[in-house]
Amino acid sequence: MHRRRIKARALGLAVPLVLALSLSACGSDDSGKKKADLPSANTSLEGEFKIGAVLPLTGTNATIGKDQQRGIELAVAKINEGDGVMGKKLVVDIEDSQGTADAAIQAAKKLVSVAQVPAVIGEYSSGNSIPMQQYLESQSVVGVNPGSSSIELRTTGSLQFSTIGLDDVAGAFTADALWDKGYESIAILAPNNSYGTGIVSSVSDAFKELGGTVTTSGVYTEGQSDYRQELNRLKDSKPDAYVITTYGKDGTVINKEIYELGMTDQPVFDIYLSQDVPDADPKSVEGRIGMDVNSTSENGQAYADFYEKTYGEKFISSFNGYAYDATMMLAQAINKANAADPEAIAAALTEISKTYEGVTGPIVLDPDGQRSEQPYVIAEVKNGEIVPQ
Amino acid sequence: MVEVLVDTAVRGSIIALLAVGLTLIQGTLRFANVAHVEFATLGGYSAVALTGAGLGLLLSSALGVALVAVLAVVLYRLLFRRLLRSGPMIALIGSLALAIVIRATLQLLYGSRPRYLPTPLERGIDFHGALITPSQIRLVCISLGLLALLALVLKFTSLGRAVRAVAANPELADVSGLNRGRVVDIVWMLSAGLAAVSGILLSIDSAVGIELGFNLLLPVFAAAIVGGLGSIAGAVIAAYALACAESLVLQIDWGAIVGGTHHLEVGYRPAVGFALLVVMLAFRPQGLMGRAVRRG
Repeated sequence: MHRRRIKARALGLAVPLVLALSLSACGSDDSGKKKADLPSANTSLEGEFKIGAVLPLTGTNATIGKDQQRGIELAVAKINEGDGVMGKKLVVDIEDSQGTADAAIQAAKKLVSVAQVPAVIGEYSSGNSIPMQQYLESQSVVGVNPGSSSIELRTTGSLQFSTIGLDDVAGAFTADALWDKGYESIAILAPNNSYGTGIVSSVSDAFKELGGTVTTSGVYTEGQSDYRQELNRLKDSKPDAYVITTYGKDGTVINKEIYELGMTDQPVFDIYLSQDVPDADPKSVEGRIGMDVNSTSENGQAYADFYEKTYGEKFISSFNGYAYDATMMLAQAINKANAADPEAIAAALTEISKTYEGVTGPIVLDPDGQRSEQPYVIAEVKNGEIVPQ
Repeated sequence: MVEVLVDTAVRGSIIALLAVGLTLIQGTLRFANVAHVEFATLGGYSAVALTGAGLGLLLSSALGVALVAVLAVVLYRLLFRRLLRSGPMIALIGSLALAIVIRATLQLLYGSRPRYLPTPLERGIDFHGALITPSQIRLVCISLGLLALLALVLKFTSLGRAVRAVAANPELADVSGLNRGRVVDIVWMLSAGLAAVSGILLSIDSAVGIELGFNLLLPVFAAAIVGGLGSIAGAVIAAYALACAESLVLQIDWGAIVGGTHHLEVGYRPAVGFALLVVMLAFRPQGLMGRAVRRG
């Protein structure tokens, strides 16, 4: 009797729990759901050609990892809709790096030893991409970095490439743009990781060389719910303009607090504008200026439409395009090499890059295998939309 | 200086609401519930879910707090009561596991991006040189109000007396005819409810993310321990003292010692709580308001 009463009571408590869980499920968004199907593969393709990718599908950078995955997905669909790779269907085996260097290398090991791929795309964070490319080089496997920008990637080896401009390229462009706008002093805020510290030093160095002053530069810890302390530091240093670069998930909070603290009365310049703006309260970023990768080329626009049609939303970051280009370039290089041999693929990559027009612009690889220039654009937020100036 | 005060009031209030609940559970059940801060995260997300379902912010907040309070009792009955039979250490490890499960579940449902409650964006108000937003003023007032209410309830009602009796000596409370199970249920509801309130207030002020509660784990534990585990007043005082210390350490120009102007990186903020904790444990292990003698 007593036991039964306990059971009844437990049931009485379990019901609200189930209710609570189902309610929270109602509240979750549908952004992961596709709006349109990807084009289906050409039926004449026989067999599979496998390459690998290591992306941060879980962990702090999971959102970017998901976006990179979308870029690869779109590229694969495009390739297989056409002639595939060496007459076969292209398959990209995507492994999770969990956002850590250790797991990234483990994932690359699996791709190299089990799936025996000739090329691996990845990762996003420089701290993970560098050791992973070093490992790939030791295994004589081609590595293509679609998201990291630390200048140390120059030294990872002859089979290692980047489809994104490194910090020196982005930093110099940003400093020039700020100087041209007539700002003589700036204060910088960036995330505390290899990307953030890299971009802070490259912008600072370039800006000082032009004759400007950097009143303060700070790095913030990712994933906090409050950044007022960091922002007050910037504010107290009284610069002509604030320069910030954030990842979307931190950017939402940072932009809100920038507005609350009245910092928007001064110019706020955003490095990689599209990393922040889509998630922010439109009021907090109205009139914001910044730099971003140029996506207005004919190629870029068609790709942006393809992305939006497939996923039912605009780019969630600017990083899907590099992953798309990395996949496209690799497919072309493999076709040109006509072999699954890493050395031949690497040689073909350099060769095709001379005239390669990607969705993120022309990708000319320098002798270090790095993207030597990248079209950036200065843009402004008007009525909640990013409008190139 | 005013900036330090504003900062202390806002952060101290959040920490106090959580530390009080932690110390209540510790007082009545003698175990440190690591998953306690997750109730704040759950509060924030339940408000997000309810506002997403079309309810108003106030109603969603109230319902969200109630949901979390009920969930806490369910978790106690299904999980912690069993674990506690094997000892407080087992329960502590169990709560650590529960915290991980809660975070993972929320990430599965909501992704890793922060969510917002539908509140209008407001400019800060200049308060003697420091900026404070209306939502922060509400946050501090609501927290202080709730803390005062809690103090009154524990001090003057029969329920409060029962809670204090169970905390002081569970066996004696049992033989005196107190329904200990009921008292413990109510303590869980109260502490989880307060945690949920702090989570919702923080979500209104900034945003709710998976790590909202986890990021507060260290300062909340530091405040509860520094205040003297089991002492409500101690936890509140320690929470505000800790917030004040954090803010001061970040505001002070250390240039006088190391030369030039040098401010500590904001990333070192949690270290302040840790340092305070170490100093306290070294010199007054029972905490600010704790009793020197351990009860059996």
